[in-house]
Amino acid sequence: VKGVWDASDEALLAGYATGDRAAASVFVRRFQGKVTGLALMMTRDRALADEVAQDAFVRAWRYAASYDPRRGAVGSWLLGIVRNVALDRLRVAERRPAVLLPDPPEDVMAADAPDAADAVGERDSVDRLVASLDDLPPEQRSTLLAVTLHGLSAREVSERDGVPLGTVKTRLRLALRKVRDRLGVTVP
Amino acid sequence: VSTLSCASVRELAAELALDVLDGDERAAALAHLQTCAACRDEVASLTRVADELFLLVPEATPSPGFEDRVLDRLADAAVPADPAIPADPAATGAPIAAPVPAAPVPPAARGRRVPRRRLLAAAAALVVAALGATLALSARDPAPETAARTAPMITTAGQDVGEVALAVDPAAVTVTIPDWVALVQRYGGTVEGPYWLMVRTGGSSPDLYRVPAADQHPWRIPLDGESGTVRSVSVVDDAGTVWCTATF
Repeated sequence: VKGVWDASDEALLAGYATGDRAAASVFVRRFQGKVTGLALMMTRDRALADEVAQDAFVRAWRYAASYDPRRGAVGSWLLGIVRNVALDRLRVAERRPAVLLPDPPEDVMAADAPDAADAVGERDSVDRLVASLDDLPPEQRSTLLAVTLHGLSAREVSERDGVPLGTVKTRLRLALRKVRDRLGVTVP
Repeated sequence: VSTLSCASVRELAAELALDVLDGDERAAALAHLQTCAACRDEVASLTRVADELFLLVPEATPSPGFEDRVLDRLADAAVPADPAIPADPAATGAPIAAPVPAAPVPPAARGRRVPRRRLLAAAAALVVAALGATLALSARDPAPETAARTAPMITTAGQDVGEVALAVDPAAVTVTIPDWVALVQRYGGTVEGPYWLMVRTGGSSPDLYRVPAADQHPWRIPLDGESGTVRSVSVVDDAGTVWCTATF
């Protein structure tokens, strides 16, 4: 389908919302890697991650018209849905990722993250993010990524890392502020 | 009433932004945000950073046939279970997806430039017309007179935040969003609004009802028409942005 492959994320989401099969196909192909990646990162369970990823695409389709570009990129919006779906599923299964996650979440800093970004045209943003995270002390970076990308609560990070809850909260606060200041994010 | 100072709320801002704060601290912090624009901005900016972090997610290879399974699920969700409806919409040229709720143009917003997503919604409305016969199915077998239908209220980010109940006689809608104030504040809205309830039936345009004040929650609003034909109920703001939707 000439043209659809080159469509912007926004235009593709629009086609997805209105039911264009070609657009839906391309939309799924464009984002399925990241959607599956986050689902897997949060659940650490292949089968469950597959279900979460499918559910997220269906939910995104159902509410595509409510996407507001002022609040962020399509990819961030979609992955926010993935996070919520994964947390819902984990709650239902009474299984928290904390017990399934023996290692600190440094894997997001792997080299394939920027590669993945190339596919959706977010390379610059990813590079800036990675640079911002590189500036953080390791314990702050680990804590921030555990909460944002693995869906752990501050208490779960505290138990996992064996540090006081107050320390986790402080690390979170300092890390998020530093990244914000480094990126120069302001309220629109 | 919040007893937290700005300094205390700034200490909690990151956890609020990351949605990992709960209990009394969360309630107190949200109460403070209701009256403090500076702290609201602080939380909003941190929330944007939290969302940006999703860009770092590494890709993973989906399971074989993943795309087909998603497209099949969309097709299943779009086509009502009736033998008269083709099982494969692609084979008939029908869309694979049902239309989604569209942002309305509230009275106060009329005359403004129509956002692109509204144009998309108009395109979705054409899809509704193409499926007109299909949509009539719901009216063929109405619910019992005293029955009420309920559906979860889902935010733009896919979060389940409450419930919508439709009463039949008299026709009315009751919207329950326990953390409505928190939801609005988290995404930089104003508690005062105004907000509108967009009720979409099989018709070409949605009906709009003014949402009562937050302190009159849960909101019960009489409907002008029958509740049996309601397909979705959304809360939208004066700019036409959809905040959450319940689909029936």
